[in-house]
Amino acid sequence: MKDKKVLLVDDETEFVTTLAERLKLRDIETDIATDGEAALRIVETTPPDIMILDLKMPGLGGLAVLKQAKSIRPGIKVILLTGHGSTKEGIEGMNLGAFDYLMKPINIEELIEKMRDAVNKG
Amino acid sequence: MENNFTGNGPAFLGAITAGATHELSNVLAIIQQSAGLMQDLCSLSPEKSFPHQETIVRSLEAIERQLQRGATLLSCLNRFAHSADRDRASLNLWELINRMLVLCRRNAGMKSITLTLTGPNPGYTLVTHPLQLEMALFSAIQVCLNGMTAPGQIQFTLTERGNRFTVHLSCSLETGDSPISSDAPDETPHWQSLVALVTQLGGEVESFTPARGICMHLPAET
Repeated sequence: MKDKKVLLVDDETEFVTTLAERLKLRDIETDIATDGEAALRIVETTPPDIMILDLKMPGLGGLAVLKQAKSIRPGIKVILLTGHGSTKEGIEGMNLGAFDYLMKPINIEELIEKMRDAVNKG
Repeated sequence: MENNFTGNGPAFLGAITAGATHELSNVLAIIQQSAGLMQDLCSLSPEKSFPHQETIVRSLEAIERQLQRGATLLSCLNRFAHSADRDRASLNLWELINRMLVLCRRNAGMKSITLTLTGPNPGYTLVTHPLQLEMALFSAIQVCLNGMTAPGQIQFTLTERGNRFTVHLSCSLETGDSPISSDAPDETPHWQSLVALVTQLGGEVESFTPARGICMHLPAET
């Protein structure tokens, strides 16, 4: 994972900044975006290998970001973050090309394992 | 928040609760990552030991345990809140009871009574009114709790016969004494509510049996 670039997208600023710090401590290059538009700008300009994307965000929602990111960079691996009771949306996201989805709160080791799977199998 | 609000009381409560559980889930996620970051920093510290290390590590482990507890409760509460979204739904009976037991654990714990569900999940599926079924289960638990006079256990077991499922609630006391007080259960409001709810679901309730509990017989489809 050390040669891969990760983009974290969530409107909860403290969540993404703290998670980014933890990934950086593990030598994983990490960028953050706190809304869908900012995420798509990063996908266009400095494309990440993996995007960790929250489904429920104000403005451009997770599924819309997923669709546009996939059209800009078809090879990008996307792991969705869902809340409780959003399994249906997680599956919908997988039908739109997401690798998988995880339910919040997430365990960092589980997230890294999922990212590794996405890179190796996806 | 789901846009299923139709103006009735349960839908209103459900919509507000579901939205709040999503917010709380984000709160837990931030606490989890912040505690995790502190754990990371402790483990990366170049010093083999530092002041209050043991206490800090123990506190972080306690935070992690409580986060798991909170996440389980929130998950159950969120699914419960969405019960009001539909008048009819396909439900996994074991999963629904499991969620209700998590949500009612505090109520039972106040009387030192534990709620347990026999596993594994047999995969019984009912098509019925979700909220009404949850109310029936809650009433059944209340009937048992009201009747039990000392610390003990209420054990849920599921069986199937033909097109019907039976939910057995077996009560037992730690002392081994008879678990149910002598008060006639069929005169209590919870019992009357239970009978009315199960009848509306097309089922029947059997009163305290020699097995010291309640049996709720439910049709696979209401």
